[in-house]
Amino acid sequence: MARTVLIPTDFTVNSLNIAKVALQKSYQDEEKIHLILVHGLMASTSITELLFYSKRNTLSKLETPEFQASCKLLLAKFEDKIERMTVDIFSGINQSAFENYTSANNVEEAFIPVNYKLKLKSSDSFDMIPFFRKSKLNLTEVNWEDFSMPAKEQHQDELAAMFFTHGRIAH
Amino acid sequence: MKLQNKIVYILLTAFLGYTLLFSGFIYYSISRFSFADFYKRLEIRAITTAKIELEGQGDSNVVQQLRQEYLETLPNEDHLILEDINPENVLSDARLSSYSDSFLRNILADSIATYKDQDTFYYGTLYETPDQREHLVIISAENYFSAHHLAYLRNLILTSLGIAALLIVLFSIMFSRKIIEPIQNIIKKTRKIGFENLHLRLEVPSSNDSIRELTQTFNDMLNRLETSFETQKNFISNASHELNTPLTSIIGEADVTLSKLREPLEYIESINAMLDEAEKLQKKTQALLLLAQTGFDGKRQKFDKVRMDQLVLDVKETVEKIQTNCKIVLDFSLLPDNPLLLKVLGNEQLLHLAVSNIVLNACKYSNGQPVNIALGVVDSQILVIVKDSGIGIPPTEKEYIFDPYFRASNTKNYEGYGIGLPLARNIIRIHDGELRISSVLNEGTTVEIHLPRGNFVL
Repeated sequence: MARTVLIPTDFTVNSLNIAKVALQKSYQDEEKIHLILVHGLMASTSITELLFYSKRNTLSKLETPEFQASCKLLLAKFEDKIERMTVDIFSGINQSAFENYTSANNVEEAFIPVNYKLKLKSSDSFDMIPFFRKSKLNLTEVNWEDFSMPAKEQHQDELAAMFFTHGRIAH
Repeated sequence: MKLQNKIVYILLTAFLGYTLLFSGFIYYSISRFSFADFYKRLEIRAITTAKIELEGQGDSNVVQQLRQEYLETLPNEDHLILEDINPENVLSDARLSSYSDSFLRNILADSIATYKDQDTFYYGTLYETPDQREHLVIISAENYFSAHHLAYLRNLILTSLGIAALLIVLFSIMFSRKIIEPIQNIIKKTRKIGFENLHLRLEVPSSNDSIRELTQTFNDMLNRLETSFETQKNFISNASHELNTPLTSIIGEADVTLSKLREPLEYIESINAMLDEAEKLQKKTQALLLLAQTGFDGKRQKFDKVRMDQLVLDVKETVEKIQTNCKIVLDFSLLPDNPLLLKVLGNEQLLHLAVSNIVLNACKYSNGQPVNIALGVVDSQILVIVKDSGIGIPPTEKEYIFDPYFRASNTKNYEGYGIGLPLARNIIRIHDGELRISSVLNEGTTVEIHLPRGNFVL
């Protein structure tokens, strides 16, 4: 049985460093990992939009090619470690909805960034970190720094953002 | 003959032949049908006439009434009845002289015959009355339909054939132009590519057809041509530069030693120094020869399994030897555990040349700051990222960086020939890979090398 790990994402390559650190941390464990990359996105209030709502379309609009390529990088590296990797959208509005989501997905562990502020990818996006902090999940804070050059906003989405980082568990 | 004309002629013959055959068949069957139909009409008239004239009593009144009411009189309708004939001598009858001889014979032989003289149709039959006597009935009339309708049909078919031919000519000219156009474009663009602008490539159309294949084949050929050209140029400039340094020191050493008489020990020392330099020179010539052979030895480059992690390590070693002040940081954190994912089908020397060119550039322009190299696998592609914190590329000059001999405006203080990057790109192209460069001025450059993974099994 795989362990389910919840990781917030903003669809930038840089944010995948959380997943990288999380995977590296549990690299020695026997257990496989089911990785859920979750993004907070408000559901539309328009009935027609809800009627034709498709998670796949919404995700494909949010994901950039670089993000997808980086996911594949992780999959190639940790191919024996990752049981499954899913990208999901969370549209709950309060803490109990989040608890509901985590218990429905059997989430046991979560990783959140410390020195990295997740971007709000679209106007409907919202910050999920407070939910993570308030929940009773086994929470690990992750810290990483780019040693190749001072972090610049426009480089968040280059494939290189996955590399040249010193990731560690924050204390 | 021009290809376009050839296409026009082929289409023209095919379409015209088809339409001719088609309309000929229609005309033929319509006229056949109209004749058969008209003979039937004559037949019914012959029988009714015979009945009325020969069986004067009984129901012939009814027949006459029916005939008058329902059978219209045909144009120039005429009939001839010879009563109670004797088949042997009927042919000599004077009233039959105006009819064709074979027609009469056919009547006697088959008891039914038809024939046509211009627009007049004849129908003859032997009619047998109930009292066993035979009568010869011949009825003739003008076929209005064949005279007028068939002529109209013929004119119609001829005019439509003319129009069709015109349309076909127009259509085939347009069609052949459409077919020829992309080929002509290729010819036009290929003419523009010469020795001085070998970096130009043909535009690959999006449609998946032979034209696309043709342009791709052309581009592949140009890639190979350009690479071998530039390896040659690279070789010459590298060679002259590399060979000059030890030669200068040998000459200098010899000059200084010969300037005055010296002790034997000093001679030994200076000759040793010269020997050292000469050995260096020899090594360099050998290395340059190897470099040259990879590019243009006339044989097809040998493609083999190349492990990219090994190659990157080799490149690091080579570059650190050439540029001693260069700090190279490797990031293998996302290196897959499965070594099969890291193998590329390629020529090791060429790939080494390409990657080391890129890393050397990174080192050269980053003034001693560390250069980062990372390796990862995305899907079926192997990704090598070379990231430096150097001077970057001015955004306006980005599109020219792959042009041979082009050097960005901020590289005045650095030595170079403007050959390394185009050469690297061509080598990557030969391996069906892709080279992506993103850069911010004064902050650094990131080069992504995408190479397709070889499908090897253990």
